[in-house]
Amino acid sequence: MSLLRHDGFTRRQRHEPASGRRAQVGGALLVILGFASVALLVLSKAEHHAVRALRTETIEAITPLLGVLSQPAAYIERLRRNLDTYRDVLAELERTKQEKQRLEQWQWRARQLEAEIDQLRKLLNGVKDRGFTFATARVVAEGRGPFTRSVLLNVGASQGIRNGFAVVDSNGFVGRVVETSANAARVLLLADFNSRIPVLVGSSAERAIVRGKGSGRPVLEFLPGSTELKVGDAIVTSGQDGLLPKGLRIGRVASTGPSPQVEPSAQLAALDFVSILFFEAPGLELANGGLLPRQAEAIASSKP
Amino acid sequence: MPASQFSRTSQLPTLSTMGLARGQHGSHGTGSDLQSPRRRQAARLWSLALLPALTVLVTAAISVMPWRVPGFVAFGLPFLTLGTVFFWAERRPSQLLGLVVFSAGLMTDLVTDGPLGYWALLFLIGLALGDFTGRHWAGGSNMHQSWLGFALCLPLVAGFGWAIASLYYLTLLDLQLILYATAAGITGYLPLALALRSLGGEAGMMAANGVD
Repeated sequence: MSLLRHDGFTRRQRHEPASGRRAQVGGALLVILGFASVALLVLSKAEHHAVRALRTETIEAITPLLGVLSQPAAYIERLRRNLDTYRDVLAELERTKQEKQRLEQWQWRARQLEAEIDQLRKLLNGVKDRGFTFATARVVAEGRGPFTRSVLLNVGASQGIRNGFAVVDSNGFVGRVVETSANAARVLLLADFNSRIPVLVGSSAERAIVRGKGSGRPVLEFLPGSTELKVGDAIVTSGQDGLLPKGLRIGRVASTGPSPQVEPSAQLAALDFVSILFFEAPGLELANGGLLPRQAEAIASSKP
Repeated sequence: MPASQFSRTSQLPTLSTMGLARGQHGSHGTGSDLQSPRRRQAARLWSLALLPALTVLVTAAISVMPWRVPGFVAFGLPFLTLGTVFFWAERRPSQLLGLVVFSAGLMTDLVTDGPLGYWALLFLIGLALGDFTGRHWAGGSNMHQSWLGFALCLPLVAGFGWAIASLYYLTLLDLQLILYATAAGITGYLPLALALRSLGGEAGMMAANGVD
């Protein structure tokens, strides 16, 4: 307790200036800066282009620095994971063996189905889906506030990243790219207050929207009234937004009721390395400031 | 030359104007053999003068790192910066410039992708409250009072932050998260303040007040 009581700064007892007056923070400057903060909030709400430009310029400038500064956090996390792994290594080995057996069975089944789909596709003269290419990046900073759940990645437009690209980790969908500069990209997480992802729910593939809440679990919205929802039902992306590929694993239904909750598959609170899927979709042009062909055509036809 | 006059010579003009160089050299004489101790003293005083700004910027950088901690702790991390601002505002207000606090808030806003000006405003409020507590309530005189002062001020700042955020998004945001984060912030203030005190030391306060 003496540690708490004794403070080296006990100016009242020993170090009060001779004048008896205490230096103060600049009152006028504080007021001006306070007004500047409020003005910035208003500009930010209005999504002023200067604010967007400032954000992009800043994340581009500080991402390399954040990459270096985040090393201790990454090191601590690796250390923690290693300790966890060492602790659970025997149980993990046993579990992995069982998992391998199970996955081998699924692999065999998947190959069988793939062959069957190819055969049917040939019969229908259908076009084969294009496979994904992807880039792997590291999370260098994260934003968590009452409104934001986003992460900053150390890759950007110069590595081919564009706004709208889906981001996944080994467990499932993480979020989508919403802002890119030359060497950095910001990912809006599934749980963010502004996140809305069209999904398919359960084996009946009912359409719905997963809405982020900022904190806590995301919720399912716009489910058809007749849907019989069960805890544990799988949720995947529907691709209806024209941005995300169909079939990315979102998570599972965690609770039913008037506002069903979703347990995301991805570990959103512990992201380290993530993959950005390169996926061509009609909505990407719009997400990157371009126009859809129909809009471009309409504008072109309106010109004299 | 008397020591008190010696310290006000043109060799340390900036420190003198900041009130940092007074009375720190009383035991030394004059002459070239004193250059080295005097410079060491000047460097020490400079580092003490810059300490509040540096610690605020460093804690702001730490608070945006991806620490992979539970949600309410991660949300409360900028309260670490707020605690640092409050600590120095209580004790050495003249050495913690509003611009530094504003810049730390702006950096937090930019990196966390929050509304620009949000954390800047909350940190400035923390600065004003810290200064007010230091002046009117003797908050800086011991750690108990300082902790109690912060414990009273943080819920006000967090509540104001919640109101601003709710207004910004035109919806009532989750209050539970803010409450948990505030509790974590109050708990974390004590070790933070002890660490800052050990960094600053008694000499920092003397330097700030220009004690002879």
